[in-house]
Amino acid sequence: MSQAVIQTVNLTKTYTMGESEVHALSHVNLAIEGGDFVALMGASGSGKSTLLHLLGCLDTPSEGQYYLEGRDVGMLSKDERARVRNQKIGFIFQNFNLLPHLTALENVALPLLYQKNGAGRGQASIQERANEALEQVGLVKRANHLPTELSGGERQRIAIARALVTSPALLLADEPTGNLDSATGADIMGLLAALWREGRTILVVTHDAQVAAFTRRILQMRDGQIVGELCHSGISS
Amino acid sequence: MSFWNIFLTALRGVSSNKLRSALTTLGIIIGVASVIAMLALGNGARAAVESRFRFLGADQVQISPEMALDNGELVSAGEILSYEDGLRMPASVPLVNQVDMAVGGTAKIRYGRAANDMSISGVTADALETIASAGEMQPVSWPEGVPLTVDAFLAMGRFFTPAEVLESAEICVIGSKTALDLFGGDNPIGETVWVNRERCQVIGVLSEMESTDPSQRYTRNLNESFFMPVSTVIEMLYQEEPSVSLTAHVTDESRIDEAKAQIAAYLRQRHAIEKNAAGEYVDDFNLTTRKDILGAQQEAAQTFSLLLAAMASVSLVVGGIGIMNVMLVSVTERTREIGVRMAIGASTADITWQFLLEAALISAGGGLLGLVVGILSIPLAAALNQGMALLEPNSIPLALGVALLTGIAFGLYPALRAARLDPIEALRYE
Repeated sequence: MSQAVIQTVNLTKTYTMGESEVHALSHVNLAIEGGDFVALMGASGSGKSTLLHLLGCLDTPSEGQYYLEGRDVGMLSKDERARVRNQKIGFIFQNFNLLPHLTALENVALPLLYQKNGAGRGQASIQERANEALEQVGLVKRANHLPTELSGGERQRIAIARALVTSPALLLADEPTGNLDSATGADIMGLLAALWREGRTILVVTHDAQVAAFTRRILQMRDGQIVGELCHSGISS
Repeated sequence: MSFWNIFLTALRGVSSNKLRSALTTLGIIIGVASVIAMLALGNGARAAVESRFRFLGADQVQISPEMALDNGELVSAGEILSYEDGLRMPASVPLVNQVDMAVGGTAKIRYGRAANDMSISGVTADALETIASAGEMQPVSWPEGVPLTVDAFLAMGRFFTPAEVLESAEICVIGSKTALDLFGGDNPIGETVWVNRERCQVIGVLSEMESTDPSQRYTRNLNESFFMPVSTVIEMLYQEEPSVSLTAHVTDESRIDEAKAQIAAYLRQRHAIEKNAAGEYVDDFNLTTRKDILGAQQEAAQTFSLLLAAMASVSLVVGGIGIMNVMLVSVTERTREIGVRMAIGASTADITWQFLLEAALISAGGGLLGLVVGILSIPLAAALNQGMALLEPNSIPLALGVALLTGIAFGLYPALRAARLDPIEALRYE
């Protein structure tokens, strides 16, 4: 195992609801090594979404530190977090979240367009990289289709290509199979597993044990804390 | 994101809902079109005022007697403005180098069997030059762009000399229609006509003239004119010396106010006007310059313009509110899109610019279309306003600028609202 991609120290998120405080996440200490494939499981309300948002730099912790590739990113400004998301994190959502008016290729290229250091990188290079990402998910032939012309599984593959295109340090998948039938879901998990084997670091949030079974390491959450952990040595299929 | 890519994104946003964008631009189109049309009306009014007073050159001071009502009759309030007043003015007033004098009258004109009651104009030797320089009349079919000369005004013969005016020579210069009426096709030069009971020799015939501006309602019909030296008219047609109208030409246009003071001092001395008890002069004459007339009239026209433009701007503001409304709806509808863009790395500025540019595109598009509609509507505005509407060139950048500013001003709040969205909330939005 290589250096830790994710390292959290006493990561805590507290919401104030009226008079009372709700501890959505309390003192989570989590380390994920580079090249790991991790499932985060738990019932709804267990805090797994909160943890995902913090790890995805969509939110800031109330307490504690979050180191992404060794850099403390917990207290960055809104725009700094946007840049971290752009460069270091690839999101895969349950409902795909493709932009409906853009073609598959344009959706995949979008994160590259938002890259600040992309000045000097030409349109051609962006196209090329987006095409490579589409190749990795096996959908080059669908490059010029709109999302509405694609099946659910194809849409999720496009979304995965979009997450891959910037070569991020971490792929965060939030219930990636939640909107798919079980066969397509298995297909998508197979794709994620393949990407893991190529060396990607992937964290999947799910409540589905069958999905979790694809991963190497399963974290169980309850009441805002990680309460259990299970490691496979191989992949069940 | 590069500005170009944000622009493309905004363009896509606008074009993805064409009907809505088109309806939103309508407010701006109407606003800009009415600003253009209203300013054209104001400009037309100003141009009409200007051309109406073009006969009074910028270097001229018009001198007229102060009039008063006496038993329901308009008479000079004090002394008349006499021929002598005018004659001596160039020598006595340093800033005045020439004085045109004019007096009107009517007489029976006879030649052979033709006899007409006609208006007679008594003028000085430079009258024709003054008419030519006003540029209101030109010979029929005068080529455009060629400067008018006094020679072009004369079809035959010549005009009076200063000496002839001084010695009250019994000579006349007649308009083309007057010549035709009296002489048929014959050559009038050297012929003698009867003015009442006195002889008068024709020394010149004017070319056939037309007004330079077809829409011009103010015309002095030169074709029916009968010019004689002012001194001759006074001697022949008046028992009692009449007031003459005087137009003083100033040597230096920039010192016209100084010239006015000199003329006033000169006339006060000649008319023996002293300060009254209150220490003020009660003059029996009026001095008018183009600046005086235009100043007042143009101020009125300017106010008129501003009022119309202000009214038109109201529709622009309404259009702006329309843009704001649509952008707010659009931001709400596209909350999820905004969340996705934020998740993959869009900065606050990226999102702000995207929506600001959408608003700007709608308003700029509306502005351009409104410009076309506005310019096309000027003839219509002119038809409703006695031909007085003229595109005000400044109104084009003004209206476009205001439209764009409206879009940006009213688009800013929705854009900032979009950029301030919490990405987590935005991603959850259904």
